Amino acid sequence: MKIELQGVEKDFRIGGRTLPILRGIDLLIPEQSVVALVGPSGSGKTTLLGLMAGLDSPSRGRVLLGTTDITAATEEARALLRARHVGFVFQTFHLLPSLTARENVQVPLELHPDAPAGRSGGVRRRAEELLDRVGLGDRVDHYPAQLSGGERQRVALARAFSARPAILFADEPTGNLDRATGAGIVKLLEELNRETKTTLVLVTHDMELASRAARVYRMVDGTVRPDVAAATAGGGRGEG
Amino acid sequence: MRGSFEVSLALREARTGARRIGVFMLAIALGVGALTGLHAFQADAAAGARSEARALLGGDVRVQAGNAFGPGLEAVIDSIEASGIPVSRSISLGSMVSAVDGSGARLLQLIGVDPLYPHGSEPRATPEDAWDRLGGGGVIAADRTTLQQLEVEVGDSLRVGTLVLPVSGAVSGLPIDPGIQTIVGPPVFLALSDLEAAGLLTEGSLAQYRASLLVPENQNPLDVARHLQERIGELDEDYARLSVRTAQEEAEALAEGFQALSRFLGLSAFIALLLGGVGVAGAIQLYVEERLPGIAVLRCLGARQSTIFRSYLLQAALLGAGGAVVGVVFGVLLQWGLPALLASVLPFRFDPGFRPLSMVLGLTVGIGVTVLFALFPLLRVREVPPLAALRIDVEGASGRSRSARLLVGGALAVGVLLLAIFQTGGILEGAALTGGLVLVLLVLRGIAALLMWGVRGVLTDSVPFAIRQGVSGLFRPGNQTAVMLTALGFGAFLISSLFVVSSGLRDWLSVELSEDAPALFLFDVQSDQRDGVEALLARFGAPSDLFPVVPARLESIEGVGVEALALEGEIPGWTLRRVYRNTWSGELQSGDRITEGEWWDADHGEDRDQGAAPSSAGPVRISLEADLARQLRVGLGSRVVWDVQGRSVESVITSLREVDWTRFQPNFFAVFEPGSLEGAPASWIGLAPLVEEEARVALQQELVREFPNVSFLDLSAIRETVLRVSGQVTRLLGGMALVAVAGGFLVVAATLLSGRFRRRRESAILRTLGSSGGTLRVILAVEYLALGGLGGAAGVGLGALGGAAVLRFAFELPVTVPLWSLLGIWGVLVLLTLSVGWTSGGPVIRSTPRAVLGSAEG
Repeated sequence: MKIELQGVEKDFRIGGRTLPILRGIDLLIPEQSVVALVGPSGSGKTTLLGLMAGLDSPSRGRVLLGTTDITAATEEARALLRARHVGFVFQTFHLLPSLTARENVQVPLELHPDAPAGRSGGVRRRAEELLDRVGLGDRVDHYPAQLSGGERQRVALARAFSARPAILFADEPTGNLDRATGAGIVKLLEELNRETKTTLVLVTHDMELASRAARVYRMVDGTVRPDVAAATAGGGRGEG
Repeated sequence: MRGSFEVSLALREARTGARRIGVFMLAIALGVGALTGLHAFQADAAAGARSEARALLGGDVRVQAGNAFGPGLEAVIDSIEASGIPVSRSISLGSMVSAVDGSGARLLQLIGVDPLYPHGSEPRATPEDAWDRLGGGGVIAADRTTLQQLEVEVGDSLRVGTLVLPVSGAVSGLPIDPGIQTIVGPPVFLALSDLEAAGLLTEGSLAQYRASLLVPENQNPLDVARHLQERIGELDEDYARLSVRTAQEEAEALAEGFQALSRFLGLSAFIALLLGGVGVAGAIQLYVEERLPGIAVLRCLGARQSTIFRSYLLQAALLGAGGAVVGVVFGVLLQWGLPALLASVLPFRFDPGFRPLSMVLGLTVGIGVTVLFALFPLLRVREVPPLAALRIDVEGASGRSRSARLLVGGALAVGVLLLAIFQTGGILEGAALTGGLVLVLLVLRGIAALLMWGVRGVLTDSVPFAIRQGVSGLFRPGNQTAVMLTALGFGAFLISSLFVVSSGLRDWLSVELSEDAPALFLFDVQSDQRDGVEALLARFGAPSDLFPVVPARLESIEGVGVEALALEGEIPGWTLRRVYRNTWSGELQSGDRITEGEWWDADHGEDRDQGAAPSSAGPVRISLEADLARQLRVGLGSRVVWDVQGRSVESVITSLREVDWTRFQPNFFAVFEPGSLEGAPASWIGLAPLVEEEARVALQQELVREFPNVSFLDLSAIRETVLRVSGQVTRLLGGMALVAVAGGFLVVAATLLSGRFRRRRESAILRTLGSSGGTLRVILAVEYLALGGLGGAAGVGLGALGGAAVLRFAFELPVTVPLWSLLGIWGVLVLLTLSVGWTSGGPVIRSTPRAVLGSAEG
């Protein structure tokens, strides 16, 4: 599923003043491509990701997921769209602390509009397979508090891919992890992405991670520019 | 340094605290208000009782008897008077007073006085000589309202017994016997000699003969009273209800007059304070939840656990002090409002005064309760690791604080125990109350555990996601089921127990006087007037049977004298020594039911008054009321000897009866078989079923004219008095219940709000993952419905039991459970829980999840 931004702008009002965060962004992320958004802190990366994922609305401009204009959609409609098509990986994992690893992975499957009501045997199996796939087959009944940072992010990965999303947003997926663990997570992310042919949008300031994407966009002062150097250095992968 | 940091931190944060949870401090304010107001009210009442008692006794010591003083007692009193102690005499008597033509007849309290009366107070009179003229006799005086009700003015005449006396004026500022006034009506004064001449001091007239002593300053009234009692003890004279009382004893008796009311108010204040405490705990919990990230940062910056804990404890105390100050203001309003609210219930009048002690007490208890109840949620502050500032999922080390929890739990229990003892005025009562509360908490905790264990089992994968998610929120890690269910249940328990108690008291007060109840109660009919009165009643279409009343006292039971029995202490002294008003009858009174033995043969009933002779020459047969029989420890076949005005009458119990005392009709403890009391001095009483007002007034006029000594009560007037009194108490009870309900709902709201933070973050993640608003609503609804429904039901159920126990054992009243009202309380609790649950998800459902996640991480 492609992502398209047309003249997107985002302002925040702080203390009576309007602060422009994003200015006139036009961007097309093709279906099944792997794209990285890089830039310094405060450049608007996470804000842009929020807009693309429908977690927030732009002040001006349009955001389209596939052919759906989510700018005009209600929060309910956007939630439905997320449940059906979008997956997330966060820097701080955002696992539900009161659910076990398996239950966390099950959530998107159960929220999916096409989830079969009252028959969750398949859902359970799928969650366990995914956890097995990320190397946590023996930790399915553990709670987040009982897992290490790397393990939590692997649960988050399993959760992100569980409902076979068309688009996956990863916000600093290795930001909270050490280098070795981070590398393992990236490897897993790439594998899963290849298997599911998901459009992957990576937000990071880790240039090494960014270089693994087919296209790299750099955010500067609320605008987006193609970062040719980074893309060339990494060689690029996953271009659909 | 550190000390000042704690204080400055506390002061800085308390501002935020007041904004965030200040409204919940209203719960403690309500408790403090009830405590302060009640304490001050009781202090006012005690002071009032002291000054009122002397006026009421008409002196420092009063001798009173139900019959005229004999020569022996007169000699004793004369000797005391000769020793320099002034004595005034009076006789008080309930009797009919009417205009000369018999109109406006009312049963009033006639007081015959001598020129010395009253010692203790200064009467005010209009015209000024109205009171002084009484001494010379030939006039009558009453307060202005009474004169207006009788529709007479100064100079008009009133009919009292066989006399017609002109009204000398209106008087006020005289002691009034509240007990008599409630039933009989206000006093009317006349000279002692006039009262004696009015022909009203007949057999069974219920007159009180009194001598009031004004003890000089250099003598102790108690010594004088003791001396009097000794001298009277040596006399060989028989008196009904003889008493020697000092003003101090009278003051204590007056204070006892509203003991049940005091007790209920004390219980209400205790419950209001407890609710306040639980409310504080919930509010502090809510506050601490919000502050946790900040606390973690402080820990990172090097603040010690104990520093932060003390600072937050200080904040709690500051917030508590704020609540307590508001509470003291409530309390003063209550103190000033109660006497007006309860004007017809209070046994005497008194004015509210400035009571600094009550205010200090309220402030101290308010702050103390706040700190005590804040300790538990504040333990959380000690458990925050500095790492939590960096990683939100880090859990505090709760294991280490187990001993702290035990310590805090112990302190809380001791604090509540002390408060309970203070409020109930007894160690045993306080301990029982605290024990009961602990039991309730344990039961609620048990129910919570059962719920968590139970729902785990029934939750299969086939249950729809939202419902499963909601239900499993009840037992998952970090759930608040135990805390919420216990706090919610406890709030519900306190609300409903107080509600049950107040509604039980209300039921007890609302004496059922149905419309078709008899309208006229006649008494003091002499035996020779009986036929005439019955004929008069028949003429007015109100045929009525009169019942004979024969006063008697117990002499011995199974051959053992009552004094010996009283010494043994197994039978309550008053049941042995009181005067019983017995009757004889051939027929079982309607409403009575034989529970054991048999009623005597109907053939005796043919001539019930003059009666056939007793069945044999042996003891006469009697039927005794079953409860009295239990108290006297007698049964069928027991032999009881009665002292019927100096004559011994031996009886044997042949039946026990259950008497419906609530029926408005003459009821008797002991019914003798016909003929057995023949010749004993009897007076007659009866009820006239006369509802039409016109006929009732005409009959009253006729009665006063033809039988001036016969007294009657117009029950329609009594009904109004009873309704007024019970109305005031009902309003008070309703008010206290309302305070509890308001406090309880504040508690529930605070508890629920404190739990919603976690839910809000979870909801935000679910929202990000694509959960619809509907799904979120169902999840929250299911969880909060389970908590509210079960916690509320458990609390209301336990509250009904607790309230019933208090009614039964503390007030010794019949238990009624206001089922619909309790259901209503439950329903409101469930709705409240549900709405708080829903609003907690509201921001997530309405706003973008991005914003919520951002603020949750903030």
